[in-house]
Amino acid sequence: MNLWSRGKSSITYAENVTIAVCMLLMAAFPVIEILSRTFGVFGIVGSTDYTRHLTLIIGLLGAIITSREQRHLHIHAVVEYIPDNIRPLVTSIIKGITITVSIGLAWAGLKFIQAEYYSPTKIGQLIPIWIVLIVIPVGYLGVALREFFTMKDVKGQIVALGISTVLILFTWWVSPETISMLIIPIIGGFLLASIVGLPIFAWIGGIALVLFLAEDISIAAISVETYRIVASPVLPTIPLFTLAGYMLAEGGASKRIVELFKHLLGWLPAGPAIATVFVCTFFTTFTGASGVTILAVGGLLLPVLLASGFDRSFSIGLVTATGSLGLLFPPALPIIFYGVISHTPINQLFVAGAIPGLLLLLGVSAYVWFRSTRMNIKKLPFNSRGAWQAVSHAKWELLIPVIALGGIFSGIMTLVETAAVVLLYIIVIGTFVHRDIRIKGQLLEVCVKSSILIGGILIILSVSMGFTNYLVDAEIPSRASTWVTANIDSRITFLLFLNLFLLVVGSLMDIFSATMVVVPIIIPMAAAFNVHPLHLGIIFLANLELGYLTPPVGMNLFLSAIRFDRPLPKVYRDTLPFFLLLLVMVLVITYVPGLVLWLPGVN
Amino acid sequence: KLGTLAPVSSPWHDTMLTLGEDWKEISDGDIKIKLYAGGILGDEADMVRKMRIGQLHAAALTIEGLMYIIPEFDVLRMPMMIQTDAELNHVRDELSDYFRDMLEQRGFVLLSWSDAGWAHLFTNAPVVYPEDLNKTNQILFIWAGGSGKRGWMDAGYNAVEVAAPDIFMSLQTGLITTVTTTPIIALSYQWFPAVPFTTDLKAGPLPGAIIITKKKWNKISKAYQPEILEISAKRGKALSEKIVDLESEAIKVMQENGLTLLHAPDDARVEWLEMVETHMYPEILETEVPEALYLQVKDILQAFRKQQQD
Ligand code: NA
Ligand code: NA
Repeated sequence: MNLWSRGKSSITYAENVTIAVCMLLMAAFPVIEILSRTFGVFGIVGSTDYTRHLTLIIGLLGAIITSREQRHLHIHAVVEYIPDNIRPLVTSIIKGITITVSIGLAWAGLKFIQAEYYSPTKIGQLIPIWIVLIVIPVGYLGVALREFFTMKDVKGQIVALGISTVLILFTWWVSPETISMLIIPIIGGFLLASIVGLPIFAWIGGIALVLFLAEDISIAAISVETYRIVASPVLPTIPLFTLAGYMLAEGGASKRIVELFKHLLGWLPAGPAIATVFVCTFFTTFTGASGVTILAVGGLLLPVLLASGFDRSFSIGLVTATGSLGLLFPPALPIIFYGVISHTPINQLFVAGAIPGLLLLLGVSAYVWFRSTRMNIKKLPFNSRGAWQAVSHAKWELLIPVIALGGIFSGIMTLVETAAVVLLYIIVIGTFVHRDIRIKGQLLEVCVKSSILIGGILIILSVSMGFTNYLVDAEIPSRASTWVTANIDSRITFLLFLNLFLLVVGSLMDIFSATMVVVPIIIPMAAAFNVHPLHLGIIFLANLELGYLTPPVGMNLFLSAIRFDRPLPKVYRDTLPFFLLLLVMVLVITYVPGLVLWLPGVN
Repeated sequence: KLGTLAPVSSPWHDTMLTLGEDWKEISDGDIKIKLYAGGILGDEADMVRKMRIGQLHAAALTIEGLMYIIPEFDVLRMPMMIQTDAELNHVRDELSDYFRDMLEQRGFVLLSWSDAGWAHLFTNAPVVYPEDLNKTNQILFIWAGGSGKRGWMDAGYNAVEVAAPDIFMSLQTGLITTVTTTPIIALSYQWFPAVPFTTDLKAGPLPGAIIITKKKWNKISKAYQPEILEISAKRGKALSEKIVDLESEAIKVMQENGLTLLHAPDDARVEWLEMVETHMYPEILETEVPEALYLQVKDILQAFRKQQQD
């Protein structure tokens, strides 16, 4: 028993160290590339190749860690309301399905390697591709094992094992025709399981597997797509920026930034609340829409708000709502992600998002000011010495947006290189200037923490591209758009349906999963109604940002309820005014395309 | 199921539609081609992978994609080597059996060649001789596994690895200031305004081929196969001739929109050849093309050029 648990903890340690090393390597390659071309020496052949293949390794290893920590993303529907007496059974069944799908995906990976084994292509002219591809089956197998061993009770493990054995034998023995006949109930089963807690990657992956089996197309098609998207050139930005955001939130940087905004904006009317709006926007821009803002910065901001005389309801509503503001500013990950999935130029998306982003930011600020006039607020008096001190404490952090924006828009670096430079910069100032990130303890811990999010996102990306591949193969997006154009007659009606649809999707799924599942389907429809791709992107992102606040299941509502220890219905009520305000602004963004298209100069 | 990067209603796409009609006619409707154009199945490497697992059955690939199956194809576009369409066709005819056999061994059947034009050097300032290219100027390297970068760096130039989707933006921002590509691509992807200088010097051809998996090919009745091969080759040849016209048209359109076409005298050609032979060929010969094959092509070319002169 002792040996068993020691073995387990050394595996855990090995996973942690490997992923941290991969992440740091991933930051190192692009930086070496920049140095090499600046000084014209020592270029690494295939540098970008190494970087993008590291994403594949980090993604799958991250997925194993996500399983280990039981943090895979799932739909927040009825999970919370399952009665206690049947909960263990439901959990075991869900586990059984998750394990089955993971094994199926591992099998698909093996078949892919088998086909790629003879490929003459080498990474960096050195490593045959199939060697790196081993990480696909190994990763999914690791997920299956971790899912199994995180179960606490033996009875549940037996049920899960039984279920997955039956399912695997079933798919093994029956013919494609049989699966094809049963396809509707099988998909229905997956969807049902999804609302009682089946991880998103498992139900999308499961559906993709059975669809390919039914069509008698090799399931390796899913792994081909996994490789195609996860090892695609822009994708390394996802782990790099995510880790950068976590470093900021976990180190002392968050305190310094809160102090800075308090001193700079706190003296304004409604000052502390305005400062909150800006701090949360700043953090969401760097952490994507991961909820990190509410979890890490919310706790610092709430006491400040309460002490200034804002009531609890207003304060919690404010922190909850602003926890997703900032999604439209560079280098926000959801924008990059949207660009990757939809093949829209990312830099143009950033430009297009600027005005709508400012609209949301200033709109919320104005509302906050209006509300504060009816409360008895103690402004924070402006204190030039304190302000100067706050600026000088946070001066290194202030350079981060300069580096990020400069890197993206100046042409000195590519997007991936910018992400690597920003990350290394944050690590260097954290460890050597402020010394609040210790290399041995904290760096490793933050890498692992962020890998939970990275792995969770990338594994969904892997399977949903496989699913999309099926849709394209069956020509479904173009048929769906034909249907929509035949049945909806005006652009206004289409946009209205789009808004409603995205609001529902946004309240059920996180922004990354939603992008992968929904975007390939709405793109041809939007094209049919002459909605500009940049406009569609901003509509999509703004709607999903709002989805975080949509009752009953928006993610930020849950996070706030947990973080501030407040009943959910109360959080709904706290957030409602902000929700309505943002809804109006999202509608404005949707129906006034000029707000989006003017700055990038397209029509 | 046939995939191609070529966009809908481009000449390549049209050719494949025509091929579909031809095949249908030959087989009395038994064979139907389902066309996935515009790269909706991914780039050429992705299409090759999908053919290997059997999801896709055929594809029209440029040399970039073909090299994922047979790196040796690179011999056809070694910089400054093959210089005219006649030379390209002659070398290809001579090596036809060699390439066919290699493809067969790897599980594919060659249906037809399908060319994409000739690559030229596009720069942001006039460059005729190798020394005109500023050593601090940055040179594009299209991400595709590393080939080329070492050679440029070896020659003292500055090469940047840029992924295909980043090329447009990198040209806009000046991260890269030099691109090797065909006039048709420079025009259709609107790269040329950032690099508005080029010469009549051809860097090398961008040949391609339509291939089908052996597994699918063997399912086609033996009675139809010869006729299918014949008509495919014919359409491929017609396409190549069309591309020649299209290419000069593309250059004309770009010239009207600010492209400067410089003339490279013979000594410029000699200097470039010297440059690539010293700095680029070693890498290619080490990683992709066997020395014997390179020498064979060199001999074929020499004999052909001599015969042309006589
Ligand atoms: Na790829
Ligand atoms: Na959500």
